[in-house]
Amino acid sequence: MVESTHYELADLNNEALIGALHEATKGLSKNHTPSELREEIVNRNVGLVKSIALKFLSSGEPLDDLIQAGYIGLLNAVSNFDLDRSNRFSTYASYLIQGEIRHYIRDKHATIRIPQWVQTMNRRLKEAEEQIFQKQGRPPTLTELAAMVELREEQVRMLLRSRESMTYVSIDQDRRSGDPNPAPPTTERLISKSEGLPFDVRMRILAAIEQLSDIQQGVIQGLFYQGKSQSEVGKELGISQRQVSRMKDRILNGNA
Amino acid sequence: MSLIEAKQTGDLLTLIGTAIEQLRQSIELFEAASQVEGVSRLSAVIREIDGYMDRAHDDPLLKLARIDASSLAADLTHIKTDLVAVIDKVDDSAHP
Repeated sequence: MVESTHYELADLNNEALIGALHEATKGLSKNHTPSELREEIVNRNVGLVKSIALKFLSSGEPLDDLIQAGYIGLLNAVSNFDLDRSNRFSTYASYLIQGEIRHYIRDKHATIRIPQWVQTMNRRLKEAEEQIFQKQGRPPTLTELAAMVELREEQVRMLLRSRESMTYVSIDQDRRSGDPNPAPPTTERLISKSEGLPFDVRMRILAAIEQLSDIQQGVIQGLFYQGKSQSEVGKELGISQRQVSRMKDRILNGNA
Repeated sequence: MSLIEAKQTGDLLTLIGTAIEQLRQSIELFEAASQVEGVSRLSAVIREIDGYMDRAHDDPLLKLARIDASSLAADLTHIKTDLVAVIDKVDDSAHP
């Protein structure tokens, strides 16, 4: 915990800066504004972003672009880091920086059509990975990931492999013709190897459920977070305040 | 009011609740190798989406929640297309 006495940013380490940022955003400290603290944290970690970006030079993307993508990961880390967890900020930031750079490369090289459901499931996996990392302070195990996204371990393994293949398979095949290492299998090939219920069938249905849940969330947010009174809403719709109230009760009680 | 009538006059949240339940059931049925029942659940969801899209303009919930009807229609159509693809795939597996 950072005391609310005057301090120079230069005297603080990364963890203390993050602590100060949390204090400032809660209005508990007026020594520095949140934006000053964020800027300082970003400045302190420029080297970290560069060192991680350098590892991805073999992707063929310009270093500056990789660094820019890495900054997005760093900014996300600054926004989302949970002080109550014991892991170090730099560990967490490195994880997100790498994730963003991989995501950037994947997007740039995605010349194959990636099915919507694969994208949806990969997004779910990414969110689950971040949540587990934030909670445990380490990357998730396959078992943890599978439990979180409600899939079997084998299916998660295939999704993770498909994610890697999305990054690398789509790079110009001609450049790979003389490559002694064969290209990894494509998503479709991986999927066709699944047993029992076809993998993409299950994924497509899960993606449909997720899309419906997103719509449901949008409706509920629209109903309860637009800052209008029930009378105002009723007037707009030409129904009584009582009818609006009943409708909301019905939804809240799960009888929609 | 009969159950069928109640369903036909349901709002968007009713549709979503029913559809999610049926989709979950379809996964269980497919995993239990009950392909016909699984397809039947998916077909029911598609029919319900179609039915809802026909009467969406009467759904007060859309105005109440400020949902853009055209974007909702696009989303539902997308879901429907995915489910049709699933049914085709299951049919192909059953009759190669």
